[in-house]
Amino acid sequence: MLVMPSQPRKSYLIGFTTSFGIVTAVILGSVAYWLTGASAAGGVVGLASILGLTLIGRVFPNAAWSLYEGWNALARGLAQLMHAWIVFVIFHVILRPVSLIRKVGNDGAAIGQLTMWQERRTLSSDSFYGQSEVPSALAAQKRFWLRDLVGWGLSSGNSWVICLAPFLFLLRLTTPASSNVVPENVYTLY
Amino acid sequence: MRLLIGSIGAVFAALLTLPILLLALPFFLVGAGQRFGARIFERLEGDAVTWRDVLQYEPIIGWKPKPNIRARVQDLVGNRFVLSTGEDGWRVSGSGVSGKPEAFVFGDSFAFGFGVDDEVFFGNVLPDIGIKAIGTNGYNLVQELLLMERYAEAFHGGVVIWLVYHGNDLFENLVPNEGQYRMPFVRELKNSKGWEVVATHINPTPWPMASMREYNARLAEICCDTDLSKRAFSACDFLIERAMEVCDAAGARLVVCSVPDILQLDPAQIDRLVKLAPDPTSFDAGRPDRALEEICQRHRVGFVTLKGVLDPSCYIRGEVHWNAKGHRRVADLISSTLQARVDTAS
Repeated sequence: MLVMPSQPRKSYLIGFTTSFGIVTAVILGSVAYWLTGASAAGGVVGLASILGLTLIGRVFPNAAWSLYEGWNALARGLAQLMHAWIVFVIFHVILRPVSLIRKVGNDGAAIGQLTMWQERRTLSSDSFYGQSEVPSALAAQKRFWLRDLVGWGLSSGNSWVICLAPFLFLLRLTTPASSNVVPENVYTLY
Repeated sequence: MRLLIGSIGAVFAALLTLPILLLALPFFLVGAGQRFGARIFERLEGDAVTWRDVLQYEPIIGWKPKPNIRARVQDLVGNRFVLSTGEDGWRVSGSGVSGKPEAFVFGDSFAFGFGVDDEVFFGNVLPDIGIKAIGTNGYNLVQELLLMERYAEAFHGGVVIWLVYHGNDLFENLVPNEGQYRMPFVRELKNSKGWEVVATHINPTPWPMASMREYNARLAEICCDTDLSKRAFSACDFLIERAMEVCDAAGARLVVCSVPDILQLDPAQIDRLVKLAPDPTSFDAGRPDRALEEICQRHRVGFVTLKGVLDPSCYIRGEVHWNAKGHRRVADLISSTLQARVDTAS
């Protein structure tokens, strides 16, 4: 969500210039309103921002692409920073205290018995070769990860994992889409 | 207890994450808006059909566009464009003032106008000139030669322009398949006695050894002094000579139009090709152009290269095909080629 697709598709550029125009208009309009105290000034500045950016996108598509790529580079950098920061914070502020409590508390005896490892049941062990071609439950797991996480937490007595959910959701938003490099051999014919 | 500690930790974590979240807020808003806007735009454009709906199996040639279709399809990066084919299956183009084609353009996806709408396709931008474009996605020169032989009767008095794309044509003349699709190719005769066209393997069943093609690596190899390069140009020599015989017999003039890959044209991208070269010391991005020109001179065939005509701004962004500007320039080149023929005749 934070990082936009790197594929230079026309619709992506149109979506970006519109979205960027609206966000810029809101910000500049708010600043103009704050400075002048007149809502009309804010509206005019906001409208001019949208029109200006739309015009740039139409007349100078290369400039718009440069803006897209520049914005995306910033977004990518910020996403990496955010990702690292969130991982750092949840590890040190949530996971470590919970782990410490388990060590010093009554749960200590159960540590040796409890394991997160689970036998993989989606595929038989002899079908691991070429498993990417075998439909598995992985796609569904990816889609309903929050439900699965909460379900697992409640059923295994680890309800504290619910506290991780908003941060995992944020991590998901900061993960860029898969690579968008155009493959060399992509023709589908008949 | 763990839930309590986890909850307290989560509150602290939220406070620590808040500043960076606020910083990222405009990026989240723009990113979400971009996706939403793109989806709306694509919905307004209309759904695209797959290439399977546009192309079909064709005996001997391998594949061909279906006749009388008007469809929205996607280019290699996912942009949508509208194409129409005529009764013969080729892309619809203008018939000019004389009502019949003066220029017959043979080629692959470039001749098919891959990536652009009908109205900016090079066959349609100059209404005074009749241009018949014959070719479609993935064709090699052997398929185009076979089509030339099929349509030769119509060439009389015209100019046949043969688009030779460096990106895959030079290599794929030598191989029997493109992915799972079978295609005619040329085979070297024993004892280097020349070449022959092979099409006996063409049928609709998938080719059993459909390995992935590394086009850029093959192009880099052809740009070096390698065995593949020698074989590729020897095959081109054979094909161009045969095409010249077809055109001569039909009373038409053949002009080979060399189409470099964007990697060869864009100084910013040429390093990618150099890195793939098996012999960087002999690498020369202009080698295909020079070799083709030499072959054409030997056979007294016209030769033009798009190297000086097109620049990176003539290509669809992130793609190997021409945009509207590229098609316009190619149309102008065809027009000047026709004009040169008139001047020579007079």
